[in-house]
Amino acid sequence: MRTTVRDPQNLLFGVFLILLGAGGVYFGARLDMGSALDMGPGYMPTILSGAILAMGVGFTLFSFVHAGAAISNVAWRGLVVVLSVVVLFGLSIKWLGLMVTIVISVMLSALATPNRSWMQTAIFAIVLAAACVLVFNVALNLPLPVWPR
Amino acid sequence: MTELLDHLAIGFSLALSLENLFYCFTGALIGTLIGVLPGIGPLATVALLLPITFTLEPVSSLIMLSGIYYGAQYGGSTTAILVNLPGEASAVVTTLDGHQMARQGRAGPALAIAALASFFAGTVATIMIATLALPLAGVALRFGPADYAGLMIFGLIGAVVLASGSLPKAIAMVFVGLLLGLIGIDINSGAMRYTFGLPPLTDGINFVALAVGLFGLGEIIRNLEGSGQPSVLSGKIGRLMPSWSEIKQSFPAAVRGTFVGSLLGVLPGGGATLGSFASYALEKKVARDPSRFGTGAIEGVAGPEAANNAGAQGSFIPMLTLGIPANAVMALIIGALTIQGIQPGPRVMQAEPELVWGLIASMWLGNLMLLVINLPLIGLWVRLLKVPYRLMFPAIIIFCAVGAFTINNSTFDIYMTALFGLLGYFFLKVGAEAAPLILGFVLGPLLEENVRRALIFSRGDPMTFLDNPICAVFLALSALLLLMMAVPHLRRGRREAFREE
Repeated sequence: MRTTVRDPQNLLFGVFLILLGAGGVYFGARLDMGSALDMGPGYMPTILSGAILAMGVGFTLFSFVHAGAAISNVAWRGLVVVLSVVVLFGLSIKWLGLMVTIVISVMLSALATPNRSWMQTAIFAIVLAAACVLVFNVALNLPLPVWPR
Repeated sequence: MTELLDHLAIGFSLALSLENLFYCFTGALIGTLIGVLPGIGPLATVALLLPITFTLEPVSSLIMLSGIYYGAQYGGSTTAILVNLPGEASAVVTTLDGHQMARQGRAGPALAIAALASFFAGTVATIMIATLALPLAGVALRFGPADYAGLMIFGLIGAVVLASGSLPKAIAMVFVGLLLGLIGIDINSGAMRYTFGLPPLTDGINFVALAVGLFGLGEIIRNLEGSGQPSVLSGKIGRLMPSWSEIKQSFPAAVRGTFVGSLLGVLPGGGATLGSFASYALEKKVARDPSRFGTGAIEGVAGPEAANNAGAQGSFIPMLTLGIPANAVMALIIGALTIQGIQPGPRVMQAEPELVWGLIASMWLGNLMLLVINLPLIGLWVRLLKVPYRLMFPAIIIFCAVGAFTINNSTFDIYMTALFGLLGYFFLKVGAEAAPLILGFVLGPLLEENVRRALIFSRGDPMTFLDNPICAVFLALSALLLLMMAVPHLRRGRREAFREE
């Protein structure tokens, strides 16, 4: 009998749990377990990781038995663009300041949607940057660098 | 009774201060503003706006956060009626009849009835919170560590059983949350747990990064899947005032919805969603002609709207009195208070009554403000719905990043937000709800601490959890809930309760 994946959602979730649980057990091994009377720092993490690992195995095995919905319609483009924008924001905020960072972020975000007009996006980026400085720096008084240093 | 009035007097004197009125109003306004945006529910809204409340006093920030919460809840209903796009599960039922009414040119009365029913429910729920808060907190003060551990387990199990979505996945997500909550320095031994030598992880995962990533970024990415702009109703809203017969039809529905909503809201996992579904089902049952539902029956708007508002406020009860989040939004609020140095629970009610009573009073004021914000300003919200998403989402991303950054002025938290954004989208794609994870994350350290203390008291004897009557009852109830879900018939019932038709 051929075994096939019948529930890709459960399979992926199960694999995620296995990785997390195994990592938790492995990296938790160097922590002191202690005993039930005197729980060490490793006691709860190890129990939880073990349970997560077991559940992961369960989801994975179950995905070969029971049919479920497929994973469809993944927004790869949106995923990559959104995460890159956030990381780029982190890389540049302390260095380039809020104004420039926001303009770059908005321009880059435009790549996530198909129809774009660069002129409109650029104007919007500058307006948004100015509004953010007003809201965050002036109104809320947050300590954010505004200009590049 | 006089004691209650005294407390309410303290609360109103605090809530009516110019400063707190301002925060209550701003919270409700911004909450509505973000909540109106299609695809962004109350959970994402509260997560997004958490950081801006951290610079405030604890009372003010709590008042503003709850304003944001019910503002977002209401904003979601507006979107549900006008665009047929529910911001989150609790607004799903509102789309059924509300949007039909809008298509028949009765958007005005639908919006007005939704607002009035919510206000009525909010008033009743506020009174309920005020009367229940003290006695419940009194009971909770007598709890020992084992009882607390039992209560938390009951809360977690109840939350996953009553929430929508796959039950096994929800349980797994609770465990993931519990584990993530333990990252950082162990307060008892000083040992570093899963910090991988990264100094920013010493204090644990930044709560804002986790919440904003999972709910904010995850949602944004999912919204980018779609083919673009949702179609906003182009016709006009029509007259706002409902007719006398519409009011007469709605009022009993709103009363029933309030009752169902407050009852279910207090339960773990209850909150707004369950109440609105239950109320819709009830309205269909008691209606003389159930076939009208789904074609624009006004009771189908009034009941669920009352129920979701009552439920949203009812969920504050376990948070304020026991320190236990009934749903993910309450978990966010607990997280926010913890950052402010306040651990919600029965002791807060004693030590800082102003905080609790100020919040309760401001809830009612906030509901009143929502009426003012929503009805006359409806034209503004409609225009906001027409802003293209491609301009909207970069602004939201920037909000997420700024929010994560400003907590500790640390870029590390921004990278963590991106990581949790990835995870959040992954969870959406594999059908695992992230809400139970946040509950586990908030309760993880508390649960560990109480289990540890209970075991020290009992000299390591795990039977202490069963010998202790209060704890034993909680554990038995948890087991019962899980067993009930194992019965196929009841499991089907749970699935049906969350289906729209």
